[in-house]
Amino acid sequence: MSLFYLFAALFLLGTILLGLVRVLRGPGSGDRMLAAQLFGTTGVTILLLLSLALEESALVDVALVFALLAVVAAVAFVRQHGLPEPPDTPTHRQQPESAKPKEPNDDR
Amino acid sequence: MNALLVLFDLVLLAGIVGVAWRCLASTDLFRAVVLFITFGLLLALAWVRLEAPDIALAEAAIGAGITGALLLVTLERLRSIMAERRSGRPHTPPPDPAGPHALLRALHDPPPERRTFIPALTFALVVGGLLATALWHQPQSVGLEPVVDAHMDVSGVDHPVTAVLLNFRAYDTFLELAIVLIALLGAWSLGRHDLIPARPAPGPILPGTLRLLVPVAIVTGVYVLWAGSHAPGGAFQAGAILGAAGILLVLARPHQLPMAPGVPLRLGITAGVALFLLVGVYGLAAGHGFLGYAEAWAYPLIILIEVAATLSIALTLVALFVAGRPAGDDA
Repeated sequence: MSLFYLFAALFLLGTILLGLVRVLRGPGSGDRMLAAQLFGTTGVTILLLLSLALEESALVDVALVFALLAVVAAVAFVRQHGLPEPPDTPTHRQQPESAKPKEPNDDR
Repeated sequence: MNALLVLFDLVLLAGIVGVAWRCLASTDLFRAVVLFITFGLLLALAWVRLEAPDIALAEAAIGAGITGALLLVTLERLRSIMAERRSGRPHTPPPDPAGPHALLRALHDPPPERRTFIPALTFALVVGGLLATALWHQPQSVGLEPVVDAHMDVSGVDHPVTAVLLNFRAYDTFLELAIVLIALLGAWSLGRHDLIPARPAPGPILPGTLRLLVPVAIVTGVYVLWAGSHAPGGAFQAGAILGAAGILLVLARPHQLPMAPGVPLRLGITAGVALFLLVGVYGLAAGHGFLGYAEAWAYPLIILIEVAATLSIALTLVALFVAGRPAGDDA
């Protein structure tokens, strides 16, 4: 069974290398960032598979931390590229009310 | 199974070298940042394969979470600084923010010279050659593993890495903590910086993510700290996870949060180094040597130091991310 896990991990590593094409080509920033996020998900899976194949339970913790913190980069990206720009220059963006959300915010 | 592992290692190695090369050669800084995030992921896998799950844990926390966000925010600030600088000069056209090469050209002012290629290549070859000769003449030894294993019963903890870090070689860890503190002092001495502005996010996804993730991150951080006494984990990893949770809050807060008060913040940031030093000096006075513990006290002292260090590391990472002294404490 561990042979199967290893094979699956190798296959997933291959998909990461294939996915690098999206990072290198783009074209948009969003494409690149999303590719990196999906690498994070794949990385979690690889770590879990390796932990089963090599029988190292500590790798589950590494996978947990990865799953938890991969989102930090995505949040940093979304803040800058996905949110409406405040009207002022970057040094005086202290009025969050002026940057109204464009989409309806119905459920809160 | 072994052949498959070797194949896995080879593919991983090729991926690491390829990603590092494309990251350094990239003319588009955003692409370089994304490649660096990917590099961190592959590096964590490499640490796993090198049977160093402790370092893989730290790399996962710092490489996947904190560095990526730090670089993205830095890039954005760099863009706005460059745009301001350009707009101050009437003769140069403002850089196109969408153009991939505009920022790099703005950064290299004057542009890089072709002539630097030969010296750079020579330097790389010389350093590479020196490293190769150093590796070639490795002495035959089994390393320190048997020595550490023989003394595990007096270390106070069950995990050899923690025993080395906080007991046998506590001095190194103490200096590492001091370096983290000095890095923050350096950043603060550069003056005050505008906070990353709070911006309301459209839709429920970002606030919902925050509400779910931050408590889970705190629980995970405490778990990793606790796990450090008997399994991979410890203060640096736990501090990085808690710091990442703090950075998440700084990044995604919809409203301005009140600034942390100056004195408690400074106490928290220095707690790790101060407590470590205190324990070290006490050990010296009690006759165990600097940073030595009495055997019965080793476990509680190590846990105490680790808790303080975790708090300090987490606070320092967030403070480094915010960059600049907190406003309003010039006293």
